[in-house]
Amino acid sequence: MLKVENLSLQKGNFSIHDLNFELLASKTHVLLGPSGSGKTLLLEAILGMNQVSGGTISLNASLLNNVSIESRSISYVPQDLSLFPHLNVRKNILYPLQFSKSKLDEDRLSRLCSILDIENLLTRSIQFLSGGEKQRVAIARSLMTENEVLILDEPFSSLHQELRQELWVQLKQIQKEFRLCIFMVTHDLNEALFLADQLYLILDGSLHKFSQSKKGLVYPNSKKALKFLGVRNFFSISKLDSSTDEIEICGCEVNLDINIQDSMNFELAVRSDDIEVSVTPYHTKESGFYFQAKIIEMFHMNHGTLIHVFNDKSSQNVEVFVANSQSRDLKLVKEENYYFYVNSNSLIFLN
Amino acid sequence: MSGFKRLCFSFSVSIFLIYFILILSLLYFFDAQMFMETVFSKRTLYSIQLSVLSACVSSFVALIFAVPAAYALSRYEFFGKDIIDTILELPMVVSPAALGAMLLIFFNNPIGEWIQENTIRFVFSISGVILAQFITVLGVATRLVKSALDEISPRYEIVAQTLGATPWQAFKTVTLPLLRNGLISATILTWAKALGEFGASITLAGSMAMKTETIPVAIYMRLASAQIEQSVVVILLLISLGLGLLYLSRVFLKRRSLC
Repeated sequence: MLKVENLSLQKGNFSIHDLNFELLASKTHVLLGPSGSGKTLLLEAILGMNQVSGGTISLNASLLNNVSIESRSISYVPQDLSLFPHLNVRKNILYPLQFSKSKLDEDRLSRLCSILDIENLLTRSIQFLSGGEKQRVAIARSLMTENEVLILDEPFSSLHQELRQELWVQLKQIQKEFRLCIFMVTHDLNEALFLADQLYLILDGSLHKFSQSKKGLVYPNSKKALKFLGVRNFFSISKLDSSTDEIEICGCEVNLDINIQDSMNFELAVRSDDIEVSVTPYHTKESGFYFQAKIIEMFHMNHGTLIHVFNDKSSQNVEVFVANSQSRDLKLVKEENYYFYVNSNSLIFLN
Repeated sequence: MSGFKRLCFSFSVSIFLIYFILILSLLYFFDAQMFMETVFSKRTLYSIQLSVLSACVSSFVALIFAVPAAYALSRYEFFGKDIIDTILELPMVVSPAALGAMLLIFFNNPIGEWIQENTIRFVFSISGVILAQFITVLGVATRLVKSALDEISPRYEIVAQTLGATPWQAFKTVTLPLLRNGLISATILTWAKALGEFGASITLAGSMAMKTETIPVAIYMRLASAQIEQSVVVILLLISLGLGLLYLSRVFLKRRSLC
């Protein structure tokens, strides 16, 4: 549907080179990335606010590079929403119709208002809406254009968690009902995982594509990308013998019973919440490895305890997240040694 | 009240007192009989008429230039923007008399002479009064409109364009309505400044009674001929017109923002 090929952008000292991706019809694509990674620059280029320095952007095979913003047929909800303060809710929502040849589609309007639960707000002034209500009105307004592509720039960043989740459900419902192709920018991985059919991560001007399967996230092959996605533990691995798959990790010689890459040296990564804790050594038939380490720091959080442990044999610090249910049974104590188990399925291989 | 708050408050009151004492001191030379005579004299009524009309024309023309120019300065980056932005302060850094002299010198060079002979005569004429006021208030008008535009996020227009509006439609349907109060303020302040303009007008248009004598010029001329009581009356007229209109506009804008 919306295709970006070899796209290069330049703004001041910041540049993006050779971006390639395609947004598919009726799918939600989420772009993650830290501040200053070029997310907004990319959105602005797609919307036509910034000139591209190379490459092409096309919508349904029509080249958009030299098409003006109003003729691109791409709807947009910015981070600050930009609801027009001199118009009430109804006039804001119907604003696009004065520039369109099509007449007011009452069914579309009432369906949008019903899903977004804004039917009772239509005569209200924008100034007297709550944050969540403003979000809903901005989404409704952007969809009155009947464009097939909707771009959302961190639309829920200013809302509290409960309201965000409510809006995620509504956005998903709207996306399905109106068969929208959504391209959304967010900082929130949970939001991305909830909404996305396809995930992208932009770092230092380059794009990493990744996805989620039933088994979990299929991570991009980049240490920096993994760090941004919350992976904290990285192990430098050396094969003990080129003819076997035996490796040394955290001071233990293990055979993971999985196809290890051909190279003799590589890195493995493990999420903090993919490591299990026990007071006794593991005797499991499942493939994986365990190591012994001492707890050096403990941080109590809402859903569990984050612990920093130190493995003497490899002199490696490891971060482990222990869920509340487990930490209550274990009664973890600082400066004590515990056993930590990592299942092979949880390992992320890096070249 | 904290010490700092009291200090700031006392400064704001002292500003009021400085101006209030100046106005109050006019009453020392106030003569009720002279007041009626001066106000209803043909010469004063002509000055009022000329000042009000010339201020209306000059501020209107200045705003026609100011709005698009301020929009360009506020919204776009272009070569020479800083130079234009700086030159807006010219009427403020150069004295009005110097501005008037610059205009007079311009109309004495070949291009100026050609304009005078083939279009409108500006030197020692009502057109000169309007031109002098226009030149004096143009920078202020542009600066005021630009300040009002700077407070309106350009993102409104971008969003309006993603909703199908052309840049002109986005300006007309979003920015212009949001600019309304700023524009009203800018118009009134520009008009008030044009009304009180003296130096450039007298230099370019002269001080001919019943011809180019505006209210500020009338004050100067009466003072120069030691008619202090009459000067006081005209000063009070100018204060009433200028401050009265500014006060009314402030009340009006406050009421609109509360609606």
